[in-house]
This record gives sequence, structure tokens and C-alpha cells, in this order.
Amino acid sequence: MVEFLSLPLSVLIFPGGLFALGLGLLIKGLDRKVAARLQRRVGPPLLQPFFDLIKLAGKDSLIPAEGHAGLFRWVPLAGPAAMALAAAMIPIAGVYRPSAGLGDLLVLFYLLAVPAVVLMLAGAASGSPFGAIGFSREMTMMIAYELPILLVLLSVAVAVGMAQGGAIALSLSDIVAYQQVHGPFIADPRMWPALLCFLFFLPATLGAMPFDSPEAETEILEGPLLDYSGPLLGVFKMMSALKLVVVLGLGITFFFPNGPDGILGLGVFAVKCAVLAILSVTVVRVSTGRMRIDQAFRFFLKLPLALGTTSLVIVLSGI
Amino acid sequence: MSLISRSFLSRIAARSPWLYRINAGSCNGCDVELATTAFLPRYDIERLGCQYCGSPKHADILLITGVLTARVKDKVLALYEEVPDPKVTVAIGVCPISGGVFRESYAVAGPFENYIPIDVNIPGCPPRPQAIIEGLQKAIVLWADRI
Amino acid sequence: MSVSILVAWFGAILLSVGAALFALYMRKVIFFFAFPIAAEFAFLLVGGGTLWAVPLIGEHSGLGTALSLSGLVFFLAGQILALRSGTLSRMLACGILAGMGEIVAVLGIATPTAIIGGGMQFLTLAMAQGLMFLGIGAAFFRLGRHRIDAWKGIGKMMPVTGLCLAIGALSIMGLPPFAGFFSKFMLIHACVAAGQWPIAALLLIGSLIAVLSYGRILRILFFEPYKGPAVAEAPLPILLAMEGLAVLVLGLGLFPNPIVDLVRPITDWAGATAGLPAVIPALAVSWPPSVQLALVGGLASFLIGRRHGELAGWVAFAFMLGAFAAVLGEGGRGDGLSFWFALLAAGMGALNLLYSVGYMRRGHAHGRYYLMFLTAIGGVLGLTAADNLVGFLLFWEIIGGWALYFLALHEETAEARREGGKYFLFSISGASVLFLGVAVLGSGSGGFAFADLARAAPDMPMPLLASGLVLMLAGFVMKMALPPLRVDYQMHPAAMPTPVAGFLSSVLLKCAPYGVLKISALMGGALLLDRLGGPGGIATPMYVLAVLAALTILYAGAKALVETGIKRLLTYATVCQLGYIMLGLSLGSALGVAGGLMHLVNHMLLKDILYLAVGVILAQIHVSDLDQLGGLGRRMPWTMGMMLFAGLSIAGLPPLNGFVSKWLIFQACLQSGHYLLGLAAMMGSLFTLAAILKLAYATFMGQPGPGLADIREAPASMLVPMGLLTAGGILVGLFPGLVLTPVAEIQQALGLEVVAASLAGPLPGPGGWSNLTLTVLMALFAVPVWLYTRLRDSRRKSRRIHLCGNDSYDLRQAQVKTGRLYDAPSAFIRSVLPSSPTGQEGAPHG
Repeated sequence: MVEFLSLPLSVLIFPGGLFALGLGLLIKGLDRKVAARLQRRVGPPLLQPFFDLIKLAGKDSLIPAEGHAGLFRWVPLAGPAAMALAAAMIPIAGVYRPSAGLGDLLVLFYLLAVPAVVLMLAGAASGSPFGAIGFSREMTMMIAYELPILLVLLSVAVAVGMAQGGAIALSLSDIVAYQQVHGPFIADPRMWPALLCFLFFLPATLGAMPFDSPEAETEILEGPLLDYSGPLLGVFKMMSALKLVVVLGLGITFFFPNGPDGILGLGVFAVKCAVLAILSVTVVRVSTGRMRIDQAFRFFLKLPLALGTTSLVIVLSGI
Repeated sequence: MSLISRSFLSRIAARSPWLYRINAGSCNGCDVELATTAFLPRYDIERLGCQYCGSPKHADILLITGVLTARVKDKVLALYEEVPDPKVTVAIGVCPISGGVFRESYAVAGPFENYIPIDVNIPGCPPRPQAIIEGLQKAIVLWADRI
Repeated sequence: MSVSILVAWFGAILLSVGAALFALYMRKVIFFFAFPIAAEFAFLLVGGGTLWAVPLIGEHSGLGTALSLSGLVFFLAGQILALRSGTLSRMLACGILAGMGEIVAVLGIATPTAIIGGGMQFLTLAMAQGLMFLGIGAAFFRLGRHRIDAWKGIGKMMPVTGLCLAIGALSIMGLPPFAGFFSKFMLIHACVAAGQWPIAALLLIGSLIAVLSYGRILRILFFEPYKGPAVAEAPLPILLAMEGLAVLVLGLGLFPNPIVDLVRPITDWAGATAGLPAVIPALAVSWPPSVQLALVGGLASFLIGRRHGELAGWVAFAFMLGAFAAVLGEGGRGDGLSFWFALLAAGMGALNLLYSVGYMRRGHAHGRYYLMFLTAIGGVLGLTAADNLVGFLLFWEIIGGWALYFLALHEETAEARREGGKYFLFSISGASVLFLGVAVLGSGSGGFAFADLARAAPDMPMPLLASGLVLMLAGFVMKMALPPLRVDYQMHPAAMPTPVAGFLSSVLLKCAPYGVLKISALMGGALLLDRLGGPGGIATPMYVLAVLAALTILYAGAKALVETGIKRLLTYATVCQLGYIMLGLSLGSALGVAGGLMHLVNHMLLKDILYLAVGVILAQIHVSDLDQLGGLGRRMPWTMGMMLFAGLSIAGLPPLNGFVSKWLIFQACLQSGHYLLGLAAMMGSLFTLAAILKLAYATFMGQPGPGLADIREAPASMLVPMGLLTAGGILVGLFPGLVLTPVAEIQQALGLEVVAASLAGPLPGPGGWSNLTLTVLMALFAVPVWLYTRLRDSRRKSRRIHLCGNDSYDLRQAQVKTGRLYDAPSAFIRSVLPSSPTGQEGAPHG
């Protein structure tokens, strides 16, 4: 009975849903503010993403006449829903432990594919050539970063599993519990290749510079999002804010989940998210230019793939 | 909607005016000034919550430069339709207002006001960045009323 | 005595070799016949037992071996000559030579079984060749021309003659259910039982050459356009004679025992001196009511289809419903696996037949289509009902043999003929390997009944057991088009009618995993695996299978990603998914087998939807390349919706049913420590996603291309089957227990580890989650957001898409070409994989 109530709450309010949405929007605001400060600008208010979202909710929605109205309106809904669910699967050390019935690392990983698929389908459904190019680039990026991130995922899960005497630990809670006892992986040089690889993955999956060609506004006018407006565009903003939290939370779970109990732990979690976002997204995006899509694809076949492979080999060889 | 104060929401929403600019046959002088206001740290308009959009469908405030030549007239009017309501139109420079030095030309279809309602005029050839920012602020005030 | 016998034998062999040399010198085939005739006469006069007199080489008779070898030379030479001959009569003459050489080769083994086999082959060959000679005579009588090229399409003008020729050809190829199958079976069985494997293998290789030449006859007779004056059917006397022979050939194929009784006296006489007992396996195959219903339905719609195409479809559907009910009623299919598989096959068959009614509205040759379709479905029902290896093999060859060949050629285009021929050859090759495996296991266990096999397996010598098992597994693997052979040569051709391709993909190919599971469980399951040993708790052959499956997933997935031909893309995607099924099954763990079986069911539902959705378009317009389509989604929203569901689900997007089974397979790989296999499986599902999205994009999104203006949404008879399949997919996704509970029972019955499944509970395995929960939770979040957008419906407006104000674009021109959609990954894949050589379908776009 407790489960019956707590599961919906965990998806709708905390840590998924509203909490993750708020945290995600806040981090986005921080990202914009820090980027502005790095460029010696004043920058927008910290809460700017909240303002944007509220404004979008009140605007008209335009449905493209040449597109597929049904698909165009229905597809976006899957994105934030999947991400709210995924956010409820991320444990917060000392604060929140996801219920086992929600699924393991594999489920989370495949849920993470949903936003990309939503973007692709939305781009294709709009009937716009720009959307189609965005779709094509989104898929290309996904193919590029999938293998490296899978290697990272396996490295972490196998490292924990082997230490516990089993084959592989796919439960996120187990990964957190292990690091709480044995120290975070960020302090373990063997896991640094995996960490580095993850840092490459972050901007790619979040569509940030230098890997933002799927939604490049100066080239293809934001690609899949080009023809969205008003509340439906807001749905995409929600999706990306939630995804930000999920992906950052995943990184924290993998490499540095340790934190105090209670409300303080929650604060520590939020701070870690923000630091990770600023390091891997903000700083990178203000200091690089955009890669062409084929450059980005080839890039991921080189360094990140090598890092991921090295990481798995190190873990499997048990050095 | 009615549960929460409408004016409260519109005050918040007014802090997020997104911009889209149309060059309707401008000499590019005003566009350079617009780029300046966007990108130079000194005039940073992002602090007003502004953000340039790639698509008119995301925009709230439409910035128009140029005389509206006969050739682009229909296209500009189509783009105007693509900006979802509520929206505000800002004419930048003297050209969209009167045609400027080009006003007698056979190629000019303007002034703009004959086709679409212009909410704010920012005269100048080109206007100074400070003038543009002031005009933008006025546009935002207008826009807040329309939400 | 022995000296005189020796002299007689050597005399016969010398005489015949001399005749052969003379024949070569004269370039006349007819003289070749001297050898087999001499040898067979010698055999009959002196008695086969005498071969055992002297001298022995190991366990085999030296003389006999010499006889066999020379027989084989004639057999192969005859087959090759037949393949190269330009006229039908010459081809038949060479075929007879080959047949006699084959008989001599087997007679040389000189065991009573071999003698019976030789006798049976002699009789069946005589009947079939006679039938063909009559048919050729009749056709020549009407046409007056010899060259085989002049006979194109004659089967359409002279249907009865054509049918008789076809029956003769199929019997000579040794395909069931014609008399030739049983004699071929006895020959192979005799060879293997006497330990003469190489002879058996060579006989099978030779019969592949026969498949080429007789397959060509079938193709020319029925699937080429007829050009020439109208000709009448053969004269009545010839017709009667032909029909009599044809009935005999078919009848003896259905009830083979009379022919065995007929040749038994010869054996008793000729084989008496050998002192060995004749081992004649029980050849009678059971034809359960469901199979009978399917076949009778096929015949009925064949007869009706000549005049009333649509009615034939409804009749076929009705009979299939009857067969479905019969499967439910039969019940006694030995084990749950067979029962469920048969039930699913019958259900899927009925749905695809219903769909065919709409699909064939603009089609041709309805009668033939429904006959072959129902035969193929009946084959699956028979396969699952078989209680011995003979029946298993018989139905296997019915499925993979001629029924599909005829369906592959159905469109009668040049591409269909080329690809169909390739497929036929590969299908029969796979079946031949299986054939050998069946013969090995059957001879090793002293009987072909499954019960014999199960009894004998634990004590069977290791080399025999392993080789039989490996051969059978290889046969199954070839059916599924797993590497190491080139996938595009092995997989089913793209030119098949879409409902057939869908059924083939979703059901027929699943016979292979079914066979793997059935046979390995039969031979002791876990016990067998323990005996075989191997790495990581998996028996070596199974481990090899698992690796092959993982490679298939990657290879076929990558090919699907770069492919731009509509059906070739789907075919590659099918092969990729078969890799998942095989990967799960070959891991052998409770989770793996459960995942594999559940994926089998899921793929059955989903891939069929994909094929049927594409078929809605292909039924209305003939296109093969994705770039010819586009923008159809607005006109066929239902089709698009169901296709997207099926595609995303099979690509493994949570919370759809395809992800549930894939999760089980991933878990099975990772938990057993096979990380690389798991990695391959996970990458493969991304490739599938890319391929499916490409398909959806190119077909339904974007702007309609030229010539697509008349495409409409499918009629109800096509939408209903797709809707039912979709509903099934959704249901299985929400309640995986619906599939997993029977799967657990099947595992229990097969003696495998049992997965902990419950009807409504969470999934089995560590960290088992409930898909229903996930779906509900996602809906909880999505519904308020949806409601909000609904509330604001009044503020929704329709606008053109944004093209920077430019209204002179041709949107069709601006559309991204399918071949360029994934440019960077495609270029990478092309640089790694060998490119596909065939057809414009797969050509990259510049």
C-alpha cells in the first residue's frame, strides 16, 4: 500500500517530476548565467528558464499544415514522461532509494533513448526539411556515443559486481551502496578513463556544444524544434530539463554518490549536479565551436571509444 | 488558470521575450547594430531575458529592418503570420517607418504600416544600441499587456 | 566361388568403364548408361551379398566401395550434364543416368537397408521420370520445339501437363510429399547407417545440382511470361496416363509403405547372403487434422482461385480458422512448446490470409498463391506435430522447399526469379545438412522416433552424438541466415508477396529456434550440455551458436541501417532479431531461454505488423526503393501508427513489449558474464532503431512523391489483422506474464531451468521490474501535460512549415534522401562490411 502511493509520488513530485524539473531548470539557468559571466556579460536571471517555460505555456500553438498533426502533437508527451520516470530511478545517497520495481540500469539506459527518439520523430513529423536534417543528425550522434557510454556503464556495473563476488551489479542502489562503503570511484584511478569518457558523453547526449549539430540554430534553425511553438515547445523544454538531471544524476551515481543524510544530502546532490554541469557543459560550450556532424561521429569513434574500451579492460582484468 | 493570478503569470512571462529578426531589404547597417546588442558584453540583452530564436514560431517580438522591398513583401508577411500570438512588432531604423533614402524607389513596397501593425518605432540610420535597447524595453512593456 | 564372383564383378566394372570412355569419345550420353546397367545387372544376378566376400577395407567391402565410387562419378557427372543440357529430354536422359549412378553408389554399400533404398529409388525414379517424359512429350506434341527456352510459361497454357511435370520434378529432387522423398531418405539413411558418410554427403551435394536444374524447369514452366500462339491442353490419353502416374507419385509420397513392401522381396533375395538384418525405419508420417484441413483448404482455394480470386482468399481463411480450431482440439502435441508454436502459427497464418484477401485484390494467380501459402502453414503445423525425425524432416522440407520457392517467384519478375532461385538452393542446402544430421542421429539411436532418440542419447558415443547435433544445428542456423555465410545470399528474398514475407519472417523462420530447442531438449537438455562441456557453463556448440548470433545481430543490424530497399531492410532487420532469439536460447539459462522465447513471440507479432504495414502500400503501387515513397502518413494514419508501435517496440524502446524480451536477453548475457555478447545485443538494438526510424521516415513522413496520389488507407480486411496483432503486442507488453507463464511451463516440460514467472507480477531475474507499473507511471505524468495541451485547443492554429519565408521550394526536392540519412555511420559501416552486390535495391544514393 505504501508502494502504491510512494511510486506515483516519486515520479510526479520527488525525485522525479516537479523536483527534477525544478532542479533541471535551475541548473539550466545557472549554465546560462555562468556562460554569460565567462563571456563577461551580465547574463539572464538565474530563474530565466522558469520564465521561459511559463511564457511558452501561454502562447498559441501552431501546427504545420504539411506535417502530421496527430504525431506532431502526441509524440512530445512521451519525452518528459519517460524522463520523469527515469529521474525517479536515480538514487540520492542518504535521501532517496528507488524502489526495485522501477527497474535497473538497463531500463534507465533505454529510457534515456526516448528523448532522442521523440526529437527524431517530432522532427520527421513536422514535415520540414530542417526537421529531417535534425532527425538525421540526432540519430548519427546517438550511434556515435552509444558504444562508449555502454562501455562506461558496463565498467561501473562490472567493477561493483566483481567486488561483490557476482558477475555484474545492474542495480543503481547497489552501485551507490558499494561506493558509500568503499569510497567513490572518482577517487579510484582505475575508473578515471570511464569518468573521462562520461564527460565526453554528457555534452553529446544533452545536445550542447561542440556536439549540438542536431539542434544547431544557426544552421538548421533548431532542427526538430523548428516548427514547434507555445506549450508543445514547452514540453520539449521540460524534457530537456528533466533529462539534464537524469544524465547528471547518472554520472553522480556512477562516480561520486557519497553524501550526508537528510536535507543536507539533497543539497549536496544538487551542488554536485551543478558542478558537473558547469564543468562538462558550460565551460566546454563557451570555449569551443560546433563540430560538423561527421567530425563529431568520427571523434566518438576515437578518443571516447578508446577510453571506454580501456576502462572495461582494466575492470575485467581486475588490476 | 483562474486559480493563479493572471497578472502574476503575465508578469513572469513578460520576462522572457524571445526575438526574431527579419531583414526586409535593409542595407545591413541596422542588422549590424542588432548583432552588436546581442553579442557585445557591454550591451548584453540577455539580462532582459531576451534570446534570439532560429525560428519565428518560437518568437514573441519581431524585429524588422529594411524598407520592405516589393520582392520580399509576401515572404515577410508570411513570416509575420508564423509568429504565434501574442506578439509585438518593432521596426528598427528609419527604413521600415518611411522607406528612408529609398522611399521613392520602384522596388519599395513599404512603408510597413500599410501591411502589418508596427508597435514600436526605433528611428535612426542606424539607431544606436542604447536606442534599440530602450525600444526593446518599451516593446516588452507592450507585450506584457498582451499576454 | 569367391574367385569367380570377383572376376564377374571386375568384368562388369571394366566393361562399364570401357563403355564410359567410349561414350566420352563418341560424345553420346547414351553410352554412359552401359555402366550403371551393367552394374545393376551384375548386382541382381550375382547377389549383393557377394560384395562382402573379399576383400574388406576396414569395415567396408572393398569391391563395394569401388562400385560406390564409380557410381558416384556417374551420379555427379549425370547431374552436371543435366544442368548444362539445352533441351528437356536431354536433361531427363542425363537425370536418369545420374539416378542410376546414385542407385549403384548405394548398392555398393551392400547392406540390406541399402538394397531396399536402391530398389525404392529405382521405382520412384522410374515413376517420376516416366511422368516427366510423358509431360515433355505432350508439350512437344503441342509446341513442336525442343529448346528449353522455347518452353517459357508453357505451364500456364497447359496447366495439367505443367502440374504433372512439376510433380515429377519435385519427386526427382527428393522433396516431400512425393515418393522421391522417401527413397532419397532411405538412400541417405542406408549410407549413414553403414558408416559411409562421405557417400551420403556426396549424394546430397549431387541432389543440390539436381535442385538447380529442376528448379530451373519449374521456373521456366510457370514463372516466365508465355509468348507465342495459344496451345491446347495435351490429348486425353496422354493426360490420363500422366494423371495416373502423378497420383501414384503423390500417393506413395503420402503413404510410402506399399513401395517398401514391394521391394522387400528383392532385398530378401539379393541381400540374403550378407546375413545382416534390414533396418527399415517406420516411414509413415502422421498427418494430423489441422494439417489435413490446411492442405484441403489449399486445394479448394486452388480450384476456386482460377475463377474467383477473392472468394478463394475467404475460403483459405475459413479453412485456416478451422485448422486453428483443430490445433486447439488436437492437444496431444507432445509438449507445450509444440502446442503453443502450432497455435501461434495457425493464428498468424489465419491473420495473414485474411490480410491477403485485401492484398491480392490487384494480384494474379490467386489459386496458386493460396495453395502454396496454406501448404507452408500446414507444414509448420505438421512439423510441430511430428513425433519422429522422418516427419520432422518431411515437414521441414515442405516448408523450406517448394512451397516457398513458388511463393518467392510469385511476382514473376526477373528479380523474383533470380532471388527466388538463390533462396531455393540455399534452403535445400540447409535442409540437406539437416538431412544428414537426422540420418546420423537416427542411425545412432536405432530408430527415428523422438522416443528412441531420447532413450538412446545418453549412451550414444560422443563423436556420433556431437556430429549429429552439430549437423542439425548447422541446418537450423542456415535456415535463420546466421553467418558465417553471407547473410544476403541466405535470407529470404525481398520479392516475395508481402503477407508471405511477413509470415515467413514471423513464423516460418522461427522453426529454426523451435528446432534447436526441441532437439536439444529431446536429447537430454542440461544433461547433454554437461557431456559436451565448454566455456562459461555453456556447451561448446551452444557457445559457438551464441557468438554467431551476436555477430548476426551486429552484421544484419548494420546492413539494415545502410539498406534503402524496402523489403531488404525488413529482411535484414528480421535476421537481426533472429539473432536475439538465438542468442537467448543458446545461453541456455532460465532467463536466456525465457527471453529468447518471449522475443520469439514478440517478434512474431511485431515484425508481421511491419511487413503488413508496408504491404498496404505495396499492394497499391509497385515500388522497391524507399526513396520512391514518402508523406503517406497523413493518408494512412492507422497504418502509420501501428507501424510505429511495432517498429519502436522491436527496436527495444521501453515500455513496449519488445523491450521486455530484450531486457531478459541482456540480463541473461550480462548476468552470466558474457559482456561482449551483451554489448553486441545492445548495439544491435540501436541499429534496429535507426533502421526502423529510417523506414518510418521514408515511408510516412516528409512529402508525398510523384505517383503516390492514389494511395489510400488500407481496407478493413487488412487493418483488422494488423489491429489484432497490435493489440496483442500491447497486451503482452503490459502483462509479460501472459507469455512468460507458458514459457515457464515449456521450460519445465523440456527439463530446462525454469524461470520464475507470474501472470501479473514483476519480471523474473535480478532487479525484476513490472512493465505495467512503468507504463502507468509514465501515463500519470503524461496525462496532465496532455490535458493542458487539450485545454488550449482553441488556441491551436494551422500554419505552413517554416521555410524562411520562401514559398518556392519544392519540398519533395528538399527532402533528405534515405541513403543520406545516416551519412557518417553509413560510410563507416560500408568501409567495414563488404558491400551488397545485388540489385538496385541496395545501391547507395549519390
